Amino acid sequence: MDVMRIFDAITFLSIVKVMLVMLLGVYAVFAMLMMRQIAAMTKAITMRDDYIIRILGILNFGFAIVVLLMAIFIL
Amino acid sequence: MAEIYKAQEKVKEVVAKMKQNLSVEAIKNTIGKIGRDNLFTSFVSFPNKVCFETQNDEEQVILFLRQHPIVNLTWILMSIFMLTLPSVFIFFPPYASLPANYQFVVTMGWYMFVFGYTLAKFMGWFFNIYILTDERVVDVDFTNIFFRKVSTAKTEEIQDVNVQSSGALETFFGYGSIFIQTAAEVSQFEFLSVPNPDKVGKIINQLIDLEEQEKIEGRVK
Repeated sequence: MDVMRIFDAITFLSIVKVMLVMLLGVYAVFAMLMMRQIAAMTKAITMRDDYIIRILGILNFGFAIVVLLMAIFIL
Repeated sequence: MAEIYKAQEKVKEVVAKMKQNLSVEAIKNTIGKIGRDNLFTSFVSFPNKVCFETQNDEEQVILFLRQHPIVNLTWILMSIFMLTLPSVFIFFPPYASLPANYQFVVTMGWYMFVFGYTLAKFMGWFFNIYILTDERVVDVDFTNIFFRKVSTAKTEEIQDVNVQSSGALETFFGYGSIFIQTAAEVSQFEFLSVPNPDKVGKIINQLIDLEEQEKIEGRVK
């Protein structure tokens, strides 16, 4: 009986929400890997003003986290 | 007797001149400062703030190269195109049927994806670096986020240098590829789409001469 209630509660929008959160979660992991790769590369090769690319990596990760939180709380 | 003395002096002069010509300083004087020394440069000689992890204390970076900026044109146009796409999302029925808050998150997610794509492509260009030092050739391959490879070969291991420039774009923008055959573990180094390939080829040959001269004089590091 409870199982039936769960199935009744599943709507198109709830499926969309779960899919969005999963996708954004995977992207956040990807963004974190990107940030770490940038850190590793700038350590391996030091260049003039290379902090700019590190900031871009951090921004990308921050953006991914913000959108993930939005998907969790707004939807 | 005086003639022998003069001849010896002449030989000394010639040797001194050769040494001067073949020293790094001579290369510096010959090629001078080429290119702008900034973060996004694709060709700069004797850069001020470039060093790499395995660089020796006395090792000097002579050339710092990346692919010509024109190779980025495709992904830049693609990114601009992708940025404009949310304006037509509304004509896509599954998106149009979503409530406003869902549409907002999907649009933000799309912009985030475009930013990530652009950054990944930019990194592919930015970290794909070729470095020539007075001792070796360094090729940093950064194919994608999950793959990077750093190959080095000593200048004395270089066997052959081929410069290739073909196609309308390469001729127009003055860039090309350099293929360096080596006796090192990595048998071929490819400097793809670098600006001023002829100059780079000439500098590599000068470095080979310098290395050979050092070997003759017993100054090999």
